[in-house]
Amino acid sequence: MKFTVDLVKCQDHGQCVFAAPDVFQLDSNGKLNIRQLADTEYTGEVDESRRDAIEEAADMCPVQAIFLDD
Amino acid sequence: MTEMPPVDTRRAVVVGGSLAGLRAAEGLRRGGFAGEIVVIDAEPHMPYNRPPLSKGEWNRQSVDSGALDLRIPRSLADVQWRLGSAVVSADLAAREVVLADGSTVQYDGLICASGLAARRLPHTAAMAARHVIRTREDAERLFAALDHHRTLLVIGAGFLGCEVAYVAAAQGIEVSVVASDQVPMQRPLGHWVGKAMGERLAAAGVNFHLGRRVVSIADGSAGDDGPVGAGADAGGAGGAVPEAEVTLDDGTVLRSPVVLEAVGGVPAVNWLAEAGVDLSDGVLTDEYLRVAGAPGVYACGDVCNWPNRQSTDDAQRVEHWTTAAETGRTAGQNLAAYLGGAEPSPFSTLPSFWSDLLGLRIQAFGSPRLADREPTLLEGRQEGEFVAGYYRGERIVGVVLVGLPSRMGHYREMLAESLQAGVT
Repeated sequence: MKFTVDLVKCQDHGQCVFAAPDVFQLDSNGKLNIRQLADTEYTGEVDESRRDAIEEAADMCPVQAIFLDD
Repeated sequence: MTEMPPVDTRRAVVVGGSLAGLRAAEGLRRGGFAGEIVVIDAEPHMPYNRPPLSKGEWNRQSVDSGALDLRIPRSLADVQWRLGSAVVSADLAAREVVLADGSTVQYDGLICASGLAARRLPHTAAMAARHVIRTREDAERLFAALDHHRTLLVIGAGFLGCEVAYVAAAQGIEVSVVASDQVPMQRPLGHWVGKAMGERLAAAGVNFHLGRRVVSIADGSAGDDGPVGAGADAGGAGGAVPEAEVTLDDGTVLRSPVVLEAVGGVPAVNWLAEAGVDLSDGVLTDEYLRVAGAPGVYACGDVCNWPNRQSTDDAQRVEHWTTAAETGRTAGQNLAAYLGGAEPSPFSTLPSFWSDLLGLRIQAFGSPRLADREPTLLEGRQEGEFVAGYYRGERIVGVVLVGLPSRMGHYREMLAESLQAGVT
């Protein structure tokens, strides 16, 4: 399954880290790890078995910056 | 020929179409409920995100442009949204709710997600100068008034009041804050942390009147620019309105054309007044978010008063964004389980809230307000970024990070482990 992170909206709250720690992490500066992979928007793909965790991350993002291709 | 599965003709009604109500509808679908879902809300908008209304992103563009809208997943494409219609009463025995226009909606399952209304001060004068922030209309009205007047008096020094005061001061607006507590954010943060934040807010230009109560509000003189003509300001919030004249208990009189009442919220549960449920603080539920004595009725979000195993044993309401999302989903899934004859799941959570102040992320975990003594400095320096720990007896019950975002995971885990150890 695919998901997209809007890195302009993202404010590094880190709620996604608690929901899906295998995908999202905060680096030593408190910034989302995915910022190292893209500037404004990142599209990633994870195994379908991770859908619940990614949905949880999207639901819990305070600025609603994570989107699932549902 | 294969047999068609029977159509589920049952109906779930969600009262409240904000974050908790939206997540409840999602939870219903996620829990396998295939019947009709009706979401009813007094506000005319599809679900939107409230935190930006008081935080840094405040400007009319973000309020108007749909940037606040919460995403509606495909699973909710067939939900009926009855927006702009307030629910005025509920008959839990007859399983129906009554709307302001007199129409009724029957249900097989009900979710109470009606949230908070802004608490108002008991004074009646100078209403045109007085504001609250709960809805996007509230925020638009306040921004418009501030664009015009550039002066703001905030009553209340909790997070909401401090967030708005800081953002306004940063824009060059003259800002005063009145509160009965000795330091800002005293209850959520404790004395020295609140004091440290207050000193920084003062340095950023916020004038505090602390330890003071408002004793009266009167109509003052009409604004700074005389009566409004039929010009550009007509009908807008930017015209001349009488200033509010706010008198404090030490005799100080503060005059401001814009006053924000940031004194908390009250659960919007009047519609349940005759329903025979426990409304002593929001809506009382068990740990499955079931409303006691009302089969098929659940509560979530700011109104939900439930026993959280990861906090104290007593039922409590938690007015946090993350809790609204989590309780919403659980209430929806548990109602789906009830309607489908399945077992519900108990709900507990490590409370978590954030604020954006002074260019720093403030992140709290647990329940700092349950501390029985002053917080302990765990890391960093009071003058800079730091972490404070909140203790009740021997046990740590909350952590607040002022900045230091990279330490968030560490302290959240530490707190979760400590609370887990306390439970077993």
